[in-house]
Amino acid sequence: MNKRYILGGLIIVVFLVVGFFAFKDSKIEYANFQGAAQTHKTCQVKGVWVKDKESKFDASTNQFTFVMKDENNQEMKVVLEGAKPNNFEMAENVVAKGKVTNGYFHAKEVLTKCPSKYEGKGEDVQKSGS
Amino acid sequence: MGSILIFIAFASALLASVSYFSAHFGKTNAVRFGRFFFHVAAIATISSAAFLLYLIITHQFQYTYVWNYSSRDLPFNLLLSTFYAGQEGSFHLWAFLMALIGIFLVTFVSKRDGAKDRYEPQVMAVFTLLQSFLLFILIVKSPYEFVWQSFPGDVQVGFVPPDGRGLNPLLQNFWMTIHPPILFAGFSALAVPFSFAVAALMKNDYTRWLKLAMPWTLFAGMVLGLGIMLGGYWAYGVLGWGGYWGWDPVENSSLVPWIIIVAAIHTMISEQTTGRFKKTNLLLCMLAFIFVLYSTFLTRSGILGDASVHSFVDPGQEVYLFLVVFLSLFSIGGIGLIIFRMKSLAVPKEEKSTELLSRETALFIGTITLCAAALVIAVGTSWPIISKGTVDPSFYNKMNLPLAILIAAINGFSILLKWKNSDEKQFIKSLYMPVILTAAATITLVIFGLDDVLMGVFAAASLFALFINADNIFRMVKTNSMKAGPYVAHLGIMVLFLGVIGSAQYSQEENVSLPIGEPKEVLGYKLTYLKATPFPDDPNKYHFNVAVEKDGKSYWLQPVMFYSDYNQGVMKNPDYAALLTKDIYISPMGLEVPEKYAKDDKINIKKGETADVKGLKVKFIDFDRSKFNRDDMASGKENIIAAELEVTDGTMKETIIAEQHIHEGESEPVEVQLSGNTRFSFFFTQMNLQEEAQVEIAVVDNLAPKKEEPAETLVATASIKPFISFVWVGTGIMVLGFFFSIVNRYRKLRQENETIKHISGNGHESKVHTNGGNKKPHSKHKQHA
Repeated sequence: MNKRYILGGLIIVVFLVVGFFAFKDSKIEYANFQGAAQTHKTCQVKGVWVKDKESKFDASTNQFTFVMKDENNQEMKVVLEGAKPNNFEMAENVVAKGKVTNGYFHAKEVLTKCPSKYEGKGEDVQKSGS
Repeated sequence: MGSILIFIAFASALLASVSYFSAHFGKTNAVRFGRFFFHVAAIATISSAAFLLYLIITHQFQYTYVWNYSSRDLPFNLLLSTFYAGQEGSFHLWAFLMALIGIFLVTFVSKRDGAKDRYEPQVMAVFTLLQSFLLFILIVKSPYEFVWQSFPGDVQVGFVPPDGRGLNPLLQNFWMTIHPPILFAGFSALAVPFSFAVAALMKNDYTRWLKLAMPWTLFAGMVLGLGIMLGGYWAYGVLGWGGYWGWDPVENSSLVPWIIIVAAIHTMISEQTTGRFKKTNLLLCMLAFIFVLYSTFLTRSGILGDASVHSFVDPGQEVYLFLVVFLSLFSIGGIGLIIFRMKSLAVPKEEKSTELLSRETALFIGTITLCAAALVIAVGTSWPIISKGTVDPSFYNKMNLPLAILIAAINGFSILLKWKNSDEKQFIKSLYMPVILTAAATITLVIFGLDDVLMGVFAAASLFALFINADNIFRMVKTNSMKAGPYVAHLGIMVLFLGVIGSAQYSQEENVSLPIGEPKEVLGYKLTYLKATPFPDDPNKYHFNVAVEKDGKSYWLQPVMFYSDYNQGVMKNPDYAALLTKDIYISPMGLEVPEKYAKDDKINIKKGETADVKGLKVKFIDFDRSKFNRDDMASGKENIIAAELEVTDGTMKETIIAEQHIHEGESEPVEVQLSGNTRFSFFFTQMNLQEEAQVEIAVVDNLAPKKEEPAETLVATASIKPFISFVWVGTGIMVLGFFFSIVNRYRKLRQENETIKHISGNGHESKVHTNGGNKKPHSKHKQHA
């Protein structure tokens, strides 16, 4: 065999082994609040923001707190490390990444999903400009 | 009219493809038709783009697309961004750039067909086929739909909305005006090496395609690289990510084709000097574009909806299906061709032996490393499709760091090595200077605080390559500056790497509350929030002026916050001061305004009970829900709930209604006073509907001496990002290097071509004539001049 193929192959093997272990650590599974409460790993929960429950940003701790309802309609307090995300108000769904500690969801990141973010609805056409 | 233009463009592109294909199968005359139809398609596409732009500029809101993304108050440059703010428009932008690049490509290939190795039919057959696919998407998802077609039933035919919905404020800035066109230009340019690779396989001739495809491949690499980093700059300067890279699926999926094409450039050069990597080159050129298609599929099909900050809208079943067909057809077709030609691609045995210590070995390992990086990113990004779940961004950092170290080191070594084989002693001798310099520079960095082992190794590898490249550039500039292109590009990458090390590993961040006028010590700087000033051209947007001082030098930062009707929320834009070695970056989080009542003014009262407050008796009778609407509440619209209170002041008894306005989960109490007494103000601050009905009321005695009130306070995240400017400077240098290389390669090609023309012009005049049609002598004339 050619030497350089051996060298190339070696890189690939080392790389695959390292990759496998790194991958196992960084995988984040989807879950609901119930599942998130049972596991101690970081997971991501999809749900909606419960708008009529209080939400606030605490400047001293730099945490944004809100109530979220997951797909099983289970509600839980979510504490996000950071300010309220852009587009939060118009998001149809939010995805929180983090883990459950002390009975609330401690989120490192909250993504906002806006299926209608960039698209209007029929009823809006009539209203526009008025 | 727009739809007709698109249809003409699609039909002609398809006809062009068919003509060119038949030219490939022997009907040489068909080339003329192909060229004609291609030009019709290009002109129709460009006209359609001009028409869409015209519709946007003249505010034709009866078109759903214009209504959806534009409005009357947008300035001209933002109307331009409107063109590609939505999915239909961005596909159109792509088709437009394909047409533009195609015009240059067809001139390029038709001029360069020496006697027998014509590439025009095959290259253009593939290219126009790609074009027709893109145009077909525009037929399915047309930007020319009228509002009454989009919303049948809701809107009567012929209705013209007076104004549009406007453009997302996140997209309203300079970087978002230029980022998408450049990115799509990169995507379109990648179609060219793809077409050349397929053409070579169709012709079963692998000698000339590399040379012809080379300038295009370099161009694609340059433009795509620039486009990606412009997106990064947008994330840093506008979105307020605090960084330029978040391993977001949208970013990743344009990075993967870039890494592949960069790998391809290296192996292509290698093949030109050594004759190896035939299959690799064909495969990489194809893969780069296949990954462009795959990236389009990932980001446009809505499949990654939960994983990305900016995944696009679900485009509907047809487009999804079509994208799958588009993608699989070209990947299976391309790879299939390679397998089909496997026999003729086999390298003769005797050529196989290579010395370990040679430039091609180094390039081979470099390519493997680059492909590994591409693989890591591609797998990570696709993970949500493979399994339920996503990958933490730290995964990419962990995996790519060792690969980046390897890439930097190999780059340094490969330049010192020679093709075929190198003299060991000479090689080791040439290592002395760079190694000494690297050691010195790395030790300096360690003294200044570089304390992470892997990052230290990465810095050392980058510096090593940096010195070697700089040395080469220095020597080249003395002789022929155009040849320095590759070294300039690599130097840029190494500068970028150093910027990444500084900003990723050694950024400091702190959350601060800045009361107005009060200096605060943060990360060694004195920060003072001075005041908020409205924009000169938009009184609803505010600059929050922060003075940053250190050692007598001061900077003026103006992060922005404003309420956007479009997003129905507060938009926040950061600001930063770029110093030579670091950026000071302030990302606003919120503004706290003093409340009208203090904490101890508040009191809880249960329903029906009476409380004694400040000499008053306050009874909570019941909630007043007359202005309350549960449906509005759920949808987050503004809503009013009130508490009915009975206040007894001595002998006077009065019932007041204290209102609370609720909007988006935040409540704003409205001040109420008794009818004949302004001494007291009442605020309905909180309610509790669970268990027992209960309210929290704040009663403020306006005559009582005021306690010290907290001043208006700006809450922000301040950070120091060392060497982040290196990232931008490095990108700039890299682009410049690419540019030199393109010019150099193109010049070489022209010189070669002229010599070919001279030979064939003297000997085979008549043959060239029949092959090229009647346009031929004309263009040949130009070449001689």
